[in-house]
Amino acid sequence: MLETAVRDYLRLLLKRRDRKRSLNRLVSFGLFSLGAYFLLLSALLLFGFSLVLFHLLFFAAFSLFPLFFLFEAEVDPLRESVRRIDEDCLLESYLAAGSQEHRSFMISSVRRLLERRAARGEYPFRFSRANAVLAAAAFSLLLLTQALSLITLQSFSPGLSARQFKARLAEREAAREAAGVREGRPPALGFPGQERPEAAGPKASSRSGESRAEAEMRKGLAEEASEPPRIFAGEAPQPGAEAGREWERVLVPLPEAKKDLKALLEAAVRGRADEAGMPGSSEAGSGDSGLGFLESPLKRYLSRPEGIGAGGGRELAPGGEQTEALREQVLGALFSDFQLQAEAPLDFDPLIERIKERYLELLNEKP
Amino acid sequence: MKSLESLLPTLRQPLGLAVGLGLGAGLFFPVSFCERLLGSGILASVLVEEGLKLALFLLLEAAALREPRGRESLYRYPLYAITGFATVENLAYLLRAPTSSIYERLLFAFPIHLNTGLCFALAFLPGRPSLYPAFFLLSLAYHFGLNTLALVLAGTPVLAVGAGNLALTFFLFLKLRAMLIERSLEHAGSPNE
Repeated sequence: MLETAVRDYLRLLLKRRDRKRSLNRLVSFGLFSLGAYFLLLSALLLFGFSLVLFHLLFFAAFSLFPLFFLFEAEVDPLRESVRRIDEDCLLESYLAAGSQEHRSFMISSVRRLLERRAARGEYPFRFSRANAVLAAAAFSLLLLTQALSLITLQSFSPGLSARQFKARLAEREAAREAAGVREGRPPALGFPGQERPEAAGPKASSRSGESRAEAEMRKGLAEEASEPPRIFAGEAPQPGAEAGREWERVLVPLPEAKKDLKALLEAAVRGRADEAGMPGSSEAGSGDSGLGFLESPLKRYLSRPEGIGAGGGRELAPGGEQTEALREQVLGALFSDFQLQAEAPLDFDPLIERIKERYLELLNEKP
Repeated sequence: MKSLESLLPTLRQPLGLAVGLGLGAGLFFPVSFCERLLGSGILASVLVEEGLKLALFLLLEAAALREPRGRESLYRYPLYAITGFATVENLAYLLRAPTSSIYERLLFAFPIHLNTGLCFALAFLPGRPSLYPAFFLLSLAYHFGLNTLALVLAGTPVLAVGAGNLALTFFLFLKLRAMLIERSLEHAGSPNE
């Protein structure tokens, strides 16, 4: 049986060791989670995999937290602690002594040793070396994420979540596709040093209805990235409203990670070309190195008087806006597929139906 | 051969971790199959899952009979397996319903599994198998009660109960560590140590 003073001191020593170890493990877990998060964000920026996979991997990493507290190498904590404070193997010899008689020879020296050690204080809290390595790794991964963000999104984004990154990636992809489609050449976006459409100022975005639509779409997607998903059900644009507001009202936010935005946009743009009935247009990539995708604007300009004549001069009516019809076409084409995703509005109201019926009955009763 | 034997004490814990995690992850599939056979109710799933934990600790009791002083390292293996099981279970939920609310399970379902496992470990460590039936019933009530509560509660209360759940995990863990310290001191005081 150990003497009470020795036992109490050893208990205190082991508790301190344990507290320090547990705190270090907690910090390790936090740093590990941060590192895993930044690593997955980097992978998301590089490979653009789905959010489900991102959360699956992050969740799996996060679920390992009990292991940080449970896992321990095969080390006897008492032996380790005793050897830490021991001098000339005195304490270890005392503990290893087979009988009380042997221990009584050593007890006075052991007490002196423990008093000296107790005054000094063992196991002060200090970050472990493993934590320093983990902190360095997490910081490096943060830098890597930001570097990748700068390359792919052309901006630093330290506060963005995976969902927002994904939305930004989709937005850039859409802008790249739109630019490629409009100009009939490989996309100009996504390469450092080149002018971005939004950076070119309002002049650039007001050059045509299409570039305005693109700018509005980009704006809508950016808003979507910072807000919870909304569904705009069946709200039609008002004819006299401000142009910018009109675009916003019909924007249906994309549930991210479920849409192949590229395919949707391609389909939408193809639909617009078909509706417009442009001769000589072809699908992206199917023509001669993409140059035959859109016909020359001069050709269209020359055929404009015929078009006005065929339309009965409707577009030149007082108060009408010449570009209005074209903008509606673009809008309809771009978002025709998306509107299918919106929830159908509740258009059946029993009271209204009853009033309608009664109204018709009254009409029939009229002589 | 000699070098392998000298490496074995070093490798025992990492190997135990890998085997425990893998075993727990693998056990998820037969357990969910059994739950489906029993009707997929909360009580059925709680019975099967807690029964599995009890079985793991009873198997460990048999192993501890051969090595009475190995309990300090043996108690970890079922807890590794429980961690593997809970992780795979949560990932299955995430695949079934991919929403961010899955992170609530880290406060709710995950600590439930861990807490009941820690209770069994508290009975195993001092070598008192007579406590298993009581802890089994306690685990059943706790697991069933919280799962039912999760269905009733929504939003903030779930998080509040989850935070309490996690606090209980840390309390049980500290209790286990304190028990380990006492056992270590008992060994030091006994003759021929």
